[in-house]
Amino acid sequence: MRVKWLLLGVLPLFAGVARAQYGYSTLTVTVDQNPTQWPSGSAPPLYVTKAGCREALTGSVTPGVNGVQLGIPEADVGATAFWATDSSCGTPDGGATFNLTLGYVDTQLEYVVNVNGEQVVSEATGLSDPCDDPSEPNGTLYLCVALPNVGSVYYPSTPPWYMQLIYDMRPPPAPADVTATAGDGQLSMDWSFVSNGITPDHFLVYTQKDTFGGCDGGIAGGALYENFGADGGPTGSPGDPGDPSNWSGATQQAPAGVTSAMLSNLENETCYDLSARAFYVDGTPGDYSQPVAASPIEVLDYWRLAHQAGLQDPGGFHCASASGGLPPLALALAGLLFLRRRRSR
Amino acid sequence: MRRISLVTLALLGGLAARARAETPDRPHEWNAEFRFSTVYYPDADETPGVGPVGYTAGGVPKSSSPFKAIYGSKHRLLSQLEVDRDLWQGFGSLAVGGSIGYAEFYGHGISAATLEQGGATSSFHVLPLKLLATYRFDPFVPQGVPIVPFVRGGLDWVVYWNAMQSGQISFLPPASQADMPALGLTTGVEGTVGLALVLDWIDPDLAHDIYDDLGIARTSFVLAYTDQIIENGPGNVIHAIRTGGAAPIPVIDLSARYFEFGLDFAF
Repeated sequence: MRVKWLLLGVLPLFAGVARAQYGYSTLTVTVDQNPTQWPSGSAPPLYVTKAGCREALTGSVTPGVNGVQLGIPEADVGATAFWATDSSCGTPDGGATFNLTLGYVDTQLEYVVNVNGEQVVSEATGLSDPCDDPSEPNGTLYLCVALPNVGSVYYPSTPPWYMQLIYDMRPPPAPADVTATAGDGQLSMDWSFVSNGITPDHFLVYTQKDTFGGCDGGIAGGALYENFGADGGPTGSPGDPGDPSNWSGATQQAPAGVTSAMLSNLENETCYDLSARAFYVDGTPGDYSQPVAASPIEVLDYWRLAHQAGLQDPGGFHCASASGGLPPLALALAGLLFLRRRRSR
Repeated sequence: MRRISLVTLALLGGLAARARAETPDRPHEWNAEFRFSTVYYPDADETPGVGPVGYTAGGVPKSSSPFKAIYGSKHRLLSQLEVDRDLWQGFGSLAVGGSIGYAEFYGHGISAATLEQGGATSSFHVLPLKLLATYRFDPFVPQGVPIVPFVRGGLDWVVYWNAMQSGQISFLPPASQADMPALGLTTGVEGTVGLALVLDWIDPDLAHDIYDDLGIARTSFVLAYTDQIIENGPGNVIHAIRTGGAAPIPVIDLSARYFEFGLDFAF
């Protein structure tokens, strides 16, 4: 019980903004009453409204004594707030401080809030209004949890005594500064990525044999660029050859944090278009990068250059080759072992 | 100058006296030695039959041997670990053991079409494996002489590989990678002379604790010079036998000469 009071005393210090570390195209919010603190069926029902009861929800809502499940589609996300509240919609919107009842001291009403299966609130939590911050960009979802007023005993309501969860619902930004370096039958691709606060799960690199004369300046000249939006993303027209989603070449995955990829088994002296985009953990794709074009070239590394210059070493380890030496090495090691055994006797 | 010399002599004399007084003879059978050379550069361009090549770098025409053209002439780091065991301890000690090392070189390839250097990188790696015999002239260490001259000789097997930017082993087109891989072995011999400076006298108490706790009987700083002849090796003897005395095909010459330094732990 002391720990509980300690937690409740410390909680206001952490209350405020809790920003999600990943993006989702759809949020599934579950607000469950702690059955050990409030037996199922005895707690007042929860309801979910949109923007402090200002608008009706378009997501699927299932009120009930065992909690609320809310599916929030991406299309319904804007600079607005979703609230889990009581049946009276007791979350006045308008700037007034809203003090929440957390329950009787004896019963310690608790709620567990899960978002997409991840527990984000595990303690009785209040909030103050307004929860939504107009300065946040569109595409940001605010999840504010208001709990029912079920008694006359209140916890301290000293601000900031609220919980605000912010989920960035924007898609990943497009990779930028894409460059390609030609290798032998391969292209090395590099890009930069500035996240909007959410780490992507991975990148995908798209390729196709160029059909725009990209290696002859076609991209810089605008032929391919015109097929992309202002942010580098595709215009989306079906069959558009400038849309990397229509590219027929192999795709390659790069893990989060790795902003480069090596594309191998390509044809030398053949122009390839390259583009990349980021994905969130739930598969939400970002915009395509501005594509680049490059041609693999035959590269003379030391081995090839030396053979052109007269080296005859065929490589390999087999004894018949000039460099064969493994048998003597094996013999020497065997001799060493023999000596050691003899010495140990 | 004379005063400085006298001071130096006095200092050395003092150190020797201190070492003489406080360097006990702790029993040991093994040695582990970590050695590094910052001036390692193989004689790859000295391989018989290999001549200069022409290319351009930044538009400037150049002519150079292949290894130097790709990897430059800068020396690289060679790191080695040797473990040996004393077979005989008398007037000095004779030990045999093995060693493994690693060095790598990075550079830029040359476009076959334009002969312009740049873009794709290339790397060359060597992994020397050695069987070594070492004689350490250390009979006077217990009497307080902290300097141990040593000589070392042995057989070398140097595995090498050349990789493209992707890390893939290079090969000769149009042959497949399995036919002409840039992965092979060159063998040879080497000899080393060096000095080991026993460090135990610097802090005898610490040396005593290290012996009690870790079993390290002697810690030495090692400075050595190594000369390698690694341009073929024993494999060619077998090759000659199997081919009826046919002349061996020249392989990459990985001979090198270098100074190296490191730490030796006797335990």
